[in-house]
Amino acid sequence: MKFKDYYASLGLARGASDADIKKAYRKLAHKYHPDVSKETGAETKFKEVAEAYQTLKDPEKRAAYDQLGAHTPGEEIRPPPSWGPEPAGPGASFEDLDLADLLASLAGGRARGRGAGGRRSYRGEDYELRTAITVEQAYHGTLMELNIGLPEHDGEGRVTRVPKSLKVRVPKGATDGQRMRLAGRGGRGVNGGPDGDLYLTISLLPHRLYRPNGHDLYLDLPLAPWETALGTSVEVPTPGGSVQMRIPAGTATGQTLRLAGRGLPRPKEGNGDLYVIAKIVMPKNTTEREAELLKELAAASSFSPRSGLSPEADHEN
Amino acid sequence: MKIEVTEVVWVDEHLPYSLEELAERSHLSHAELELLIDSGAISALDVRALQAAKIAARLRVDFEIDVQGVALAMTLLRRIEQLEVELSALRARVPGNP
Repeated sequence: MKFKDYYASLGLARGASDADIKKAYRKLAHKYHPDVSKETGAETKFKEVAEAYQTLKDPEKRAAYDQLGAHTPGEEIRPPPSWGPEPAGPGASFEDLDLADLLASLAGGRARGRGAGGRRSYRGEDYELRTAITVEQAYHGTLMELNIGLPEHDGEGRVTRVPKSLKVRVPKGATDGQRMRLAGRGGRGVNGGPDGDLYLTISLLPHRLYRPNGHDLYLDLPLAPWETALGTSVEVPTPGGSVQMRIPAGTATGQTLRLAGRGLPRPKEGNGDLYVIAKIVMPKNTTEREAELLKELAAASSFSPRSGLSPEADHEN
Repeated sequence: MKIEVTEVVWVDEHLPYSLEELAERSHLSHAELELLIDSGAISALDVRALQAAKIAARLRVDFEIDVQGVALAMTLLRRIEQLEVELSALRARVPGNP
């Protein structure tokens, strides 16, 4: 069993008072609770903080924990004999046990509500997982492997984490924030109760080209000034492969053109759209010939791009 | 290690849960759920009601607050979520934004 420094998790010294423990927990919970926090790694950090608080707020568990003394976090330790015998069965030992699970079963053992002894059946717990996929994976659908550690009860009221690998087929139609249910893949039901479900929340990884909004995608399309002035047809990348797109003459920077049905597929039918935002770019270096032609254009054109900035423009509008 | 391929169901396609199912799966009592539904913090007919009920249960336990406080927090969280959706839609439209 690996040692965890619960006092350090809450930023406290070993002799901290109950009030200090509560105060430290509340402060950290506000900062890291995954339902309210946007900090990176908030979920892991909150789990650590909550686990520490679950033990230290309970006088019985705290006393048992204090018996272990101070160790380096991660150090392999053996619990005192008063904590009960080593788990029996092939491959089972103290090494496989989690400190928090063991402390919970020690406290639970004296006031067991829903252990193996009861007759009532309970539905297994639902679990929540998050995973990130690429735009391409969302477009085509993907098969992904999730490695998870699910808690399982050993019949003695003790809990072990069982590593499980799940292959999940994510059908096309996913987008940022979409939730999926894997029926019966959560915690085991107790006394014949149904198994819980596993919920998977999908997020999309940032893409080099596309910015998703629901099932629509946005793409910046660089164009030369003469292409937008005269109109052209260009090859535009889409997640389903390149398509030829007509750029009408007179297209300005920032103008949005729509490629209907070229966005991400929706779960049931149809696709979102791909919005192409025109972006006029200039060559870094112009050749002598190009400069000559541009000068000729400047001399011949009466176009005034800044007429709207003159004071008179206000009176006209 | 056992490997099995699991097919998934979009949560949006699931039928709304009954009050009994919501209570059993979120570990909230009927009275607590009714208060959250009456205050508008959870919409019983929404397919995402179970997710909302679970968040409510976590907030109540983890922050040690009463159901009225949870209802207020849920309402504010939903407003933040709506603003985030709006912000991300606007960001997608801004050229040059990664």
